[in-house]
Amino acid sequence: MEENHPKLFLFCIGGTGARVLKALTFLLASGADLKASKVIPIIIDPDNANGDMQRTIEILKNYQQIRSRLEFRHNHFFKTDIQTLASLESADPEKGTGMRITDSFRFDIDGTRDGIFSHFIGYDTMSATNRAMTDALFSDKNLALELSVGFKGNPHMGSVVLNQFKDSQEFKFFASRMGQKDRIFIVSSIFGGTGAAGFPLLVKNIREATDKLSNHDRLRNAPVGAITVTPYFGIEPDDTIQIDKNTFIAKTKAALDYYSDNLSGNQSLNALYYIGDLATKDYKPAEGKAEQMNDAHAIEMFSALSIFDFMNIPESNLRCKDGKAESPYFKEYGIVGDDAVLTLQNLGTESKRIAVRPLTQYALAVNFWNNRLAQAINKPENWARSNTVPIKGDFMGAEFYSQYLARFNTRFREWLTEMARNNRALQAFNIDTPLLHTIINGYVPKEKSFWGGENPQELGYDDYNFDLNAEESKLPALEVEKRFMAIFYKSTVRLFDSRFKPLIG
Amino acid sequence: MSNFQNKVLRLFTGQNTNADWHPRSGGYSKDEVANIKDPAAGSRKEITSIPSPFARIHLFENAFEWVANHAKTEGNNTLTKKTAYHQLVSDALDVAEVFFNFEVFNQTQKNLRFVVWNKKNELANLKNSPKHRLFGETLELYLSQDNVKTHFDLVDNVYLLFCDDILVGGTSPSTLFFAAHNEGFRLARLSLNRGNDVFFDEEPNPLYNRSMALQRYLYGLFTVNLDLRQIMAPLWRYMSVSLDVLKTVRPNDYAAIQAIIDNRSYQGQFQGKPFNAEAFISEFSAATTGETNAFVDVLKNIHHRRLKGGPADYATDDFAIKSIKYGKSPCPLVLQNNFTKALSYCGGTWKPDILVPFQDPQ
Repeated sequence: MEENHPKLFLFCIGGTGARVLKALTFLLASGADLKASKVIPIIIDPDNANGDMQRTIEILKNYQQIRSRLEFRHNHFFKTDIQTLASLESADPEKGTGMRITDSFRFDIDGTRDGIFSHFIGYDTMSATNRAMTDALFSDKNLALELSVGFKGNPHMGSVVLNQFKDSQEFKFFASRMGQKDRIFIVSSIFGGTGAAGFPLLVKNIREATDKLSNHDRLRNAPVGAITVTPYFGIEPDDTIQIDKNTFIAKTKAALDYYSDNLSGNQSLNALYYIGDLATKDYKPAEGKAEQMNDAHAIEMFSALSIFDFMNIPESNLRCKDGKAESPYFKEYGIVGDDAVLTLQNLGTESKRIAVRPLTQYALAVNFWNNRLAQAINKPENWARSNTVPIKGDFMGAEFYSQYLARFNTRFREWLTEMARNNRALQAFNIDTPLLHTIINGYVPKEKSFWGGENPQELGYDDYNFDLNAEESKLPALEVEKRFMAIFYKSTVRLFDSRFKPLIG
Repeated sequence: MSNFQNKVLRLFTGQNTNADWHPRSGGYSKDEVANIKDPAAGSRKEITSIPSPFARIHLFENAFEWVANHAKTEGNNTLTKKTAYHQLVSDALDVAEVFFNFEVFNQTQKNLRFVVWNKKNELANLKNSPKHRLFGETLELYLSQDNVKTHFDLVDNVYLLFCDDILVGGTSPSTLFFAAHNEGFRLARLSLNRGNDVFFDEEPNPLYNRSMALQRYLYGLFTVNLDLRQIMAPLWRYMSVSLDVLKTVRPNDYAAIQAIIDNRSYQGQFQGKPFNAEAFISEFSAATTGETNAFVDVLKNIHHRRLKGGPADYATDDFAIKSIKYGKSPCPLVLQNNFTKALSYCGGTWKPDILVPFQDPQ
């Protein structure tokens, strides 16, 4: 039962954090099994108009809207609860914290939308001695930097600006809401400004939690995992802007070196995951704000899988004493076959076990909803006509489908498309094919032919409707959205089992 | 699919052990990080990626280490390369020179002064002021947690040096010195120099090319205080590599330094006697900030030292009068305008365009 699993406080820092969170959300929507009773995403990114973050937040809100109308006895799509931090406030005022927390997925870090760094640190009113020290540590350019677009690859500045969060109501609230077995996971990129600084800073503040913070001892010794994403995409060089792919590797090395002394080297983390790739794709450079929106990448999906891995680690292996992990894990990620274009067959056994069935089921569902749903409702197919709860002509126009589910699925398809055209590409599905047995790219189920050879074991909409009918007739009466989702969940289980099971062994 | 070989997704080539998320024996080690191929290595762009407010200090650690490792793998003649890291190393050594020759430079009206940043007091000042509290707390967080490699815990103060009210550099617990930001080589305009080596310009100068007095001081410091070789490992690694080059370019000077390191003997008035702390203190006076008894410290219990009195090693200049009768030091130098031979002069080389005034204003 989900209730017995710990909560997961998931800190997602910067653009990479937002994109990995997006990949996780799609995995959870497809019903992938995460051993968490609840996921609480906390997005930290001072670049308020960051395109990636906005896309992710939109998807999360859709997810919640969809999920709120479903049940999970019969259906596992969207089964994992994703909630904002604010939602953890007790409904009972006696037990509540009395804090007023913004009900948002994003930590609102004050003071970083306007102004320049020197004003932020109060440079002009410092003593001459402190000004001298500040000049030693920060260049004139650093001091003059506009904070509204992040730190332009200057994590040494990020380490100061982002430290605001430790004083925020949200951080204090988070600390107070950590349960005994709850876990923390941090997603960040090692390059760029926000992630590189925010990650060690967050860990330091958690492990250093003084008694000024409620629950500090629990926080200090909480199981903390993290993934540090090293370069996997580049940026075309452009003299007019300050980010430069050429220095990504140098920056990564500098940060990794720092981590080896002051993060992995001093046992602050219970589990540290590393991932990166030498195959790179150049993007048009952007200075942040809405421009910074990169195509989804397979690395982000693999990164999301690290969260599943972390939640699978037994509690006894994640113990801390005095803020130090007793037996830290360090992990890397491997694929099978060094191909420039990946398919689901390049995934290892465990990754397949976690992701292939759910994603394929959801892809099959999206395929039908896109290509056949209107037709099936209009006909109507048996499962739509239903003796119990019919799905009528207005279903697709109603709020649940048109406002939430269809929009969510547009984003899902976009995610798949972007990963498919990236480098290294992941071409997972032929999402719109009517030849459903070919929906998994690169895999065609086979059956022995009469003549001793092998033929593709075909799958079409007739088979699909057959399964939908079979499942619908077994379901009890539920509200139409619940039933709708359950019908599709159960029938796609059947479809997967009938054709694709050999892929996951 | 091309094959069924596992491929681990990482930036350096290593063992392709397993698929999926799988454990490895530890975090990425320094050697593995060093093995990540950097296409921009050798470029001159500033690298600003260390996620700590003390990034500047760590940057110099990385620079000394990188240059030393590079020399070990690519050959000792790489110490004169002009990469961003070589530049940083040279700038830090320039700061060392200015600290070391403090009295000489002040005599030539360079207007040098110290600002002493006392950790305890200044952090308290910052934290007690609402506008500066966050900055102070952040500095304190990193100072207290990040002392595995950078021994912030072993220093009470950072000594910052100004020339004509412009920050030149300061002391570091891991590399002795670090230089201030030097974009566009702006610090070269301060015209701090030694012979024809202009400090902070675009021509990096490795340690072995610098004055023997400075080198005797540095190697002496790391011999009298052996722990420094561990505490300031990045700098010591560089110093070892530089010594290897000195051996090939100036064997006599190398021998003198090696004698110090071996605690064997010492030149000058202690010729033939064992090198020790007493000899060291005798040759170099304790550096002060200008205030009485306010020493410039390397670490809590070790004072920096500087050249005593005048430039004692000008005696080795080719221009010095080699007089048996004149026992004092320094010997006067015989200088001539338009002299074209490239003889050694003030630790550098004489250039024909150096003007010799007919009268010394002093």
